[in-house]
Amino acid sequence: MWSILANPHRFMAFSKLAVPITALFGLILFGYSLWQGLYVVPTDEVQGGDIFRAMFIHVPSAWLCMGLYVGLASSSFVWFIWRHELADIAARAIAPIGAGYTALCLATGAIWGKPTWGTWWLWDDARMMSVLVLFFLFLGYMALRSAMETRQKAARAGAILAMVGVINVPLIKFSVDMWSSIHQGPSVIRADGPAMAWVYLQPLLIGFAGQTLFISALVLILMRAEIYNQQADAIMARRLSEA
Amino acid sequence: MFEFDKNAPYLLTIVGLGLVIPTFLAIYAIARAKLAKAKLARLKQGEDEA
Repeated sequence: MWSILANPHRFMAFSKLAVPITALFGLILFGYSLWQGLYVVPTDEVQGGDIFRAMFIHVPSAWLCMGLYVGLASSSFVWFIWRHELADIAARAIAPIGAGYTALCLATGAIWGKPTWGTWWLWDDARMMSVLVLFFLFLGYMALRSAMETRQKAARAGAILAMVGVINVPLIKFSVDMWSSIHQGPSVIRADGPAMAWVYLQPLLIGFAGQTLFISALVLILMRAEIYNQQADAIMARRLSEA
Repeated sequence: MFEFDKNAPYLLTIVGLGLVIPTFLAIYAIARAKLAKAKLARLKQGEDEA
């Protein structure tokens, strides 16, 4: 399937159909999760009362910013090894969405931290700092690419940064186990199964699935934009060579 | 309407951000695609006329 979609013309046909479907289902699932999380599931007094409902925004954004970085690094790897143009286009499309979702994770985490821990931010917290590094990796990737003279140089420099930076993802995941952190330990992805009650876990996973679909639609839209831009650049280059 | 406890302002700010940032990203993506498509259409139209 991937080799079929690797053709830009087939990709444009596929994405034209896929964008509205993924966006619509994503929004429906996200809306359902938010409604469940805010108004249906019972208040968890152990987790500080109603503020625990922030979990239905914060936790999917945290998972997604890590997932988006893995997507960025994977696309960069595919471009670096096989020089497939569509992989580089995917990497470029993922970066701004990843930066946005990492900003969302950092902002919602800080706001959740104030009533729960009495502080917006801790500079010596391993989880907070590793997510901040992830945010700078997304910004650095975009800045590095835009500083390069040619598309090839930008793709190469960006791919190296993305592949090196992927080491930060397991550091985020295991930071609460390895270093000091005010964050609680893992409660969903654990060796002995989730510690969270199903009544909370179900809307959380549905919200995550919804936001994943929504983000997929955004990445596809940005990939389409990049393909249009490349086609426009090719026309302009042809005109210049003819002139 | 539903009522939350004393931390409602924090919770509602988080929910607001959870809606505003994805909406902003969607507007950004759609605007980029529309601009790129319009630029390509203009160039193609210029080629046809030439």
